[in-house]
Amino acid sequence: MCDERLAASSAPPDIPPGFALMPEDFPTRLEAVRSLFDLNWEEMAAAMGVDSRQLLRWRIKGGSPNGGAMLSLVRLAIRSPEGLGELLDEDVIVIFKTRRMEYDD
Amino acid sequence: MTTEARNRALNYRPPPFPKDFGERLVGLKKLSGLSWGEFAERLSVTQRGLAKWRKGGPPSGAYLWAILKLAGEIPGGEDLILYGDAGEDDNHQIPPWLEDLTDRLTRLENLSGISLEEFSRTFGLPEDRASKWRSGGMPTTNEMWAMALWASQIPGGSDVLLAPWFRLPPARE
Repeated sequence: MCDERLAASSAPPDIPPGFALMPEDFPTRLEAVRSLFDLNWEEMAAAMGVDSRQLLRWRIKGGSPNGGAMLSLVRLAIRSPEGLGELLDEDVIVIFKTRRMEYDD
Repeated sequence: MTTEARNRALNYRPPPFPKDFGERLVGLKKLSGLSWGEFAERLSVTQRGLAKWRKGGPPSGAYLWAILKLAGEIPGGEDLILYGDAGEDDNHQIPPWLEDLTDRLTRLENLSGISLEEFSRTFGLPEDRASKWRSGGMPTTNEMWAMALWASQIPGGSDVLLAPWFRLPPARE
């Protein structure tokens, strides 16, 4: 199947097991999804099912959502055909630029 | 386009984290053709972390990101992670013609002067249903039918509840 290519392809370099990276431009991606739907931040928080202060924290202070909120964001994004691309594509900035790591436990 | 997209987003309320997420992950691993070791390596997760997710523990946001990126490389992977095997769980499967239901119900309340709670009582539906619909929860088929009956008794009600979201093409002779 797709597998050797998959195994060899973009495994993120030199990240020790147990850590995951958030893209550095995550706030920009949030903004892209927001403007795609022409929402204000309050409305976006409601559509993600999170508190607007939380959303503010991810935008401004660079915190990252938990898994549930991240999934909600993706589910919101896919309500537009371009949404998932806006959110996940790596076309703008090299995303593994800085380390914002999260231990998996 | 923007208004339509905006409405879709405004009416959306995400469902809770899927209970079958662990199974979705197992499905993704199968689709990928990778071994568990390779799979863990691709996600930079420890075996322990992976085991936790397989039991249904949600990954962190950063890991979910990594999982989605990996899923994007596997045909059918994104759908599996987002929708699950059964293709349900979720509000995001609400068909477009039901997306503005909450809004329609509010208008029906205003038009009739009857609250959703009163309506529920009249039809013998559980008390907590009204608040679920208000927050975007979907009615069951029976409840939907009851809503249609309710609307039919209010002048203009059927239009509010059932006004067509699309137009059928003209019938052929």
